[in-house]
Amino acid sequence: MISVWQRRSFKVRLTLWYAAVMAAAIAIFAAVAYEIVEHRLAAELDRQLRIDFDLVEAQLEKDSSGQMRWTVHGAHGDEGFARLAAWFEVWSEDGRLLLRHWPVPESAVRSPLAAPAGSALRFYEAELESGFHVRLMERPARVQETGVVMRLFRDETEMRRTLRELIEVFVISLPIAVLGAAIGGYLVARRSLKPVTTMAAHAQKITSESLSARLPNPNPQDEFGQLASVFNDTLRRLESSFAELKRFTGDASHELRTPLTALRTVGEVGLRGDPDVRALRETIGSMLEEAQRLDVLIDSLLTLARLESGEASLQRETVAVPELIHEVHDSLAVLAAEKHQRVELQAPAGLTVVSDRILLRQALLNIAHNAIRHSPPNGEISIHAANERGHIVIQIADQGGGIAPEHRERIFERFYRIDKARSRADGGYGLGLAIAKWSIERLGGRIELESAVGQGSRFRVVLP
Amino acid sequence: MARILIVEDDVKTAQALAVGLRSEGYEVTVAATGDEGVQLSTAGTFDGIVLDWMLPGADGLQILKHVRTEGVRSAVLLLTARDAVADRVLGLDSGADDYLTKPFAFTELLARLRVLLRRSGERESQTREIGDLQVDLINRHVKRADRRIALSPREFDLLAYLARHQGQTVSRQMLARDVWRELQRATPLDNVIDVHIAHLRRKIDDGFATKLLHTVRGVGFVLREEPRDD
Repeated sequence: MISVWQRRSFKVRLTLWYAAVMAAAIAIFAAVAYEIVEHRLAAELDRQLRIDFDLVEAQLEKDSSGQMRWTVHGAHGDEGFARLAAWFEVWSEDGRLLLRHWPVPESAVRSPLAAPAGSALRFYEAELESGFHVRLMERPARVQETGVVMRLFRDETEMRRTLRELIEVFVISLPIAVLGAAIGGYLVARRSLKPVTTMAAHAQKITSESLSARLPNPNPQDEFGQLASVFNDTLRRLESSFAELKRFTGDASHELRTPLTALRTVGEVGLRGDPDVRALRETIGSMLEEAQRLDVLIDSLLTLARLESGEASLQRETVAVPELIHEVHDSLAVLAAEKHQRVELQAPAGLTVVSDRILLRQALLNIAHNAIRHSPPNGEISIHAANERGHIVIQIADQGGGIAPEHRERIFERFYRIDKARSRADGGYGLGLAIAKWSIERLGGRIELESAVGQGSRFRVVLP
Repeated sequence: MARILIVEDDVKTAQALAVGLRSEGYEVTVAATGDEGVQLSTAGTFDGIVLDWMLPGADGLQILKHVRTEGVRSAVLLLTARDAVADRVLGLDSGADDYLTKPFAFTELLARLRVLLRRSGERESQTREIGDLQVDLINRHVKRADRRIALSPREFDLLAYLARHQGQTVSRQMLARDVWRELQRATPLDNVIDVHIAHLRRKIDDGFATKLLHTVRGVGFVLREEPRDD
């Protein structure tokens, strides 16, 4: 399965990265440590060479025949130690060997060194024979007014062994450390990805039938907790839209079947017996009425579907609000007049909004129609428009029975009717407010509802 | 009489249209498939073609393009279940003269066909007379039995529309679109139209023995002198 593979691969990738970073860090550390140790050891040898120089120079003499001679004076005490430790050559300035004191047999050295190259102080290394390295110091000196060049030796074997051991330690410990880091990294990765594994296992069990399930979220603060919260939030919305869709499908089929049932029944009953022309006209007329109901219903549903899918394209233009309100009023005034209702309009002259005129008008018509329908005869309906802190707000208030809190949330749902029997007789489908809501939301605004039972309702259309 | 070709694959609809149009005096031929439609229409002897968009074989738009490239001048009324604006534009761009969305009222189809087939020389007269009712379309005066009747602007528009279509039934949908200029069918105008019709009826028919404004149940309204034979 892809998800499992990806999870594994992520763990492996994390582990590899971890190990690689660890290896690089150790390698850099080892290189730096090696450099420092090597430098310190070499400096130590150089320091000893300088001490040797001082000791040896002080004890060089020329005898009467002009021969260079090295005498160990008692002043320095341990004669044997000085003899053994000192390892030097004395060269004349013109490159002749004057004196050589080697603690190792000269014959053991395959390649005697050439004469000193110059008369300046210098330190360098040389390999006297295979695997036998020495560190050398050359330095000019004066022995009883005679200028000479002294060359001192120090065995590097000890230093080299120390360095080799250091490398061995590194070579052995590096793979161990990297392996340890890899194992640790893997364990850490597995442990920190465990919530994801758990989440995936839970999420897999969630289907359209069990949308009420939620992911466990023991620690909502951390990153995975946030992920789970987001996921749960999505689930919640999915659940509610599924529920709404189910309800809608049920409602729609009911609403579509009602006129269809009437069509069939009226048709069948109309054909019974031996109807005369007048009776048949009645029957057919009644059937056509139902057909028209179906037509309008399907049109309304299509309008809603287009609004919801965002398919309906918007044509924004500058709409003069007072004119729009008057237009809405003109369309519906006759209905209010029938019920002797007064409609009060109020809008500051010159108030405009950039919006889709047709959608906005349709929404206002639906809300106003709703207000007229639910207001008692002789009641008053007001349509007020105003600019409230940069938002155009159009309020449509009625003096109807008001809407109880339990209906307030659902009044904008498709097919939702508080008084089902009365609305249908009225020719309403319970779609008007749903269309209004979706139209206004499509325009980027919202509809607010303030209502109290017995005190009428106030729909506030707030435009962006 | 005008010759009409109906290209429509739904047998029931095609038959009903044919019967209806014949009863109105048209000479009607029916094509049930797109290919048949192409053959018949390119003969070029029809005054009008009622063309369904969704057809088996060549579809309505293809037929339309073919017919127009062949130079056939017949007026074409396109029928379709699609009513998105883009489709409407596409249909008209392809050479249709008018466009009707299914389901439609037969009365509306009749009205549209009449407009399409109207000879260009025919001029609209200023006054319409229905029995003793006179409607002056230019000066917006209405008289019945030589007595002026005062109408609101909306009532006059409504009466004028009915007068132009006198003798023909007009549907609420036609009134909503042509008198109220309301394009959205989901807008609640049916009640509004009914109330205006009631007002208009009171003003022109009350006190007269012969009623002129009739309701045709399930279809719409008609302005005519003869009472129905029922």
